[in-house]
Amino acid sequence: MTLALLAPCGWALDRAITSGLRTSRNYLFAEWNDIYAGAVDADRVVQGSSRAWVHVSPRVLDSVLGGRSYNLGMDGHGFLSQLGRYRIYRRHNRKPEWILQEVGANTLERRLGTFRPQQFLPYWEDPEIRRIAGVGGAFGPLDDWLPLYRYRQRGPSINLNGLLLRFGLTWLDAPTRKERGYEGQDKAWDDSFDRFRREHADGFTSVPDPEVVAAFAEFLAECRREGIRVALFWPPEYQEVHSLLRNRRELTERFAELAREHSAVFLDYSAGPLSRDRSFFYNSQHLNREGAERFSLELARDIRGFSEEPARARPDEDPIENPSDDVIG
Amino acid sequence: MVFNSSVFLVFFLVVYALYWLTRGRLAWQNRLLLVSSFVFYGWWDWRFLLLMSTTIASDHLIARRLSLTEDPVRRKRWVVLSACVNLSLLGFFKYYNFFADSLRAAFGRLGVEVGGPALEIILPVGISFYTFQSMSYVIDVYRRQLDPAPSLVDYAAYVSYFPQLVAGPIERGSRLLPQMLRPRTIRLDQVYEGGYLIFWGLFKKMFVADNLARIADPLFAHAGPHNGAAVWIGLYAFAFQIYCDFSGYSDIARGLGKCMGFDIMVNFNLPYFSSNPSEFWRRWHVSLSTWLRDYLYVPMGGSRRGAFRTYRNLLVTMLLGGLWHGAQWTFVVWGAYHGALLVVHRLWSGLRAEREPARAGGFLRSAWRGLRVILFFHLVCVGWLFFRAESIGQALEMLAAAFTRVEVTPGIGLGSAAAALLGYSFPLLAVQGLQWQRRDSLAVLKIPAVPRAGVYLALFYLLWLFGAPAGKEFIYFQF
Repeated sequence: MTLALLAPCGWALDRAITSGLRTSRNYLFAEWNDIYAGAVDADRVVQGSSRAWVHVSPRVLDSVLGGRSYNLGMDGHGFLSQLGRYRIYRRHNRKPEWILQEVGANTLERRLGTFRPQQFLPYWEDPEIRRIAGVGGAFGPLDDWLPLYRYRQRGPSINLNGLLLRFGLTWLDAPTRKERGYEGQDKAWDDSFDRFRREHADGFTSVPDPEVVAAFAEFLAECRREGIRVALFWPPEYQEVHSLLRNRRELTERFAELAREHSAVFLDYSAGPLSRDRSFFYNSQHLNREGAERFSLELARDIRGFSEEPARARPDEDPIENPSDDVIG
Repeated sequence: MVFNSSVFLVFFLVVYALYWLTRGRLAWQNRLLLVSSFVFYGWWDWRFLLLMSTTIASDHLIARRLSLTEDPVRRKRWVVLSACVNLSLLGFFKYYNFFADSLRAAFGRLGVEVGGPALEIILPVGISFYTFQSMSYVIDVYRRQLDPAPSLVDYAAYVSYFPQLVAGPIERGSRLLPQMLRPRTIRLDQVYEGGYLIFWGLFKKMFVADNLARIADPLFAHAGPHNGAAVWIGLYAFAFQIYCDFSGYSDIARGLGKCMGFDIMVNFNLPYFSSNPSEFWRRWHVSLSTWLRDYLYVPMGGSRRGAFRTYRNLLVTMLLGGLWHGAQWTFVVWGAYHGALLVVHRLWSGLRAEREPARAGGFLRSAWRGLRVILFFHLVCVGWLFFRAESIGQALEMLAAAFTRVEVTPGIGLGSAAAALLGYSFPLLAVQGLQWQRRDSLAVLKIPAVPRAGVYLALFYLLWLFGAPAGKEFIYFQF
């Protein structure tokens, strides 16, 4: 009898936990739940890695630009995962006017590993989610086929939270501190850069992956076709890290070229005024809250300037066929 | 390899398949058990096999010599030789640095510098267990309570039998060796019981013990000062952690044995339902307590030579029992503490008979016993403080905090720790309540089919959803 009931009970528990977690406001699930519920509802969407998530405040953007912004930055995930999240976002939400895409040394690299795999649990039925999550090896075939298998050893509090939420009990559901995906970091400078500098005394080179580059270009082309304006922004970095990235110039030129090809803009803040003051950073790559909000203001003002200009035509486009477009440059 | 790992699962399935194929051929089965036990043990470190082989070879040889001589002087020499060999190996690997450091510290307080090397000695897993098991065999042969094993293979299989090798139970030659020497039948009901014991053991380990460790470990890792309320919550957590960790291992060992047709002894019999120290030591780590009783306490005179010598024997036995657990003064103090409890209990029992209140009805009797169980549980928890603490100083500080600095301060996580403690221990207490009420460790197997299925499903999914990751080592491996 036990064996006969094992699978149905497993399926029922899976459904219960999954449906509960889809209502969670916990930091792992809140943004995904907003995406699937169509609640992002943004005029401007910020994308990128942790350097988007901790750097760009939607509230500051809105104070300058009006409307509504949302930060979809994915901590610990590379561009392919960000692209997957974008596709899911587009499936359930209205088209934004602007996409502010964070770029940097790692953007065009292939990133291995699945950071915080628990965030993917409630939407595992979505093939796009499986594609994002499966890259790093945190999940396997049994997660696809066996009910409840993906919930094993992901943390008892997540499973219990899901079950409680299924019955409307929010005892364990600590609301996220993020504001529409952004979370300013109240941290002081740590020693991670010193360790990094010791380990990479001769510097390091970013190696773009051809598949990632192609996907990035296709993403820009798609946005262009859909009339979504894209701004690629390289956030401030603490100045002492600049010399360590051996192919920095090649990367910035590559992003600038991609932007030109696809009528996007490229904004390089990596060596701006903020980068000279360590008190705005908690490590060489990440601004603290004060630095992030100053940067958000600067970014918003620059975006406002571009918003007041019409979008550029594609270089090969005959301007006569598109009399409403001014050709820039 | 640990029981709660996928490597062991694969290992056991392969061994069990071969074991099944060799049924009816005892010699081959025993060879298989020997080889698989050596693979199991060597998985930790192949060098450990040399040490265990030395113990096996020397005790097998000594037992054979014992059986060939009637001269009492010679027989005594052989058994003393066995004890010397075994205790020397155990003493060196487990206690060399402890005694060397203690000696150095003691002389240092007198202003005398004592030199001598501090050796980096790896403590072989399970050495305390198989050493005692092998020693008991030789002593039983010496006492003519047991015939020596006919072959080295059979004896080696007995000592190294992998289900109980690294963390007990410490089997006796009179129990396990005959089972090694006769054909074993594998019945379906045995496999069913064995499967239940394995599952229950894994539940105790992975759901209760490993999760409660996340409450207890931070408490003892904290240098202090401690909050008394936190000390009690952490102590309760550790009490259940160590019980479930250790008894879980024993249950798995028994279950594996049952699946192979062996009857391994019960090592834990609901010890936290004890109302006094004497009862506790008849229920806790039974294989060790009976070993100490039969090979230490009784030979010293036991309780047969007057009150003073009885108390002395109790204290010495428990002190050495504490030292058996590890080369730290905290274990010695823990052993002495339990020795003192036993002495006080004996004194108290001698002063007045332990009677229930006069003309007490069943409810009053039960209530009185329940109160004594709760009180004694707290006395056991005080002992666990010394067992688990990093030092005697830390234990004393925490003990003081437990009685003088109990503050329920919001915001430091006491509520969630208490809730977690209750949540993880409730299923254990529910099942053990049934076992206590029915006086049967397999009580769950005997309830009607529908509620039984409900219990299995509940335990299975609790383990699946809330069990700690596999592969965490058992506490008693370090002993």
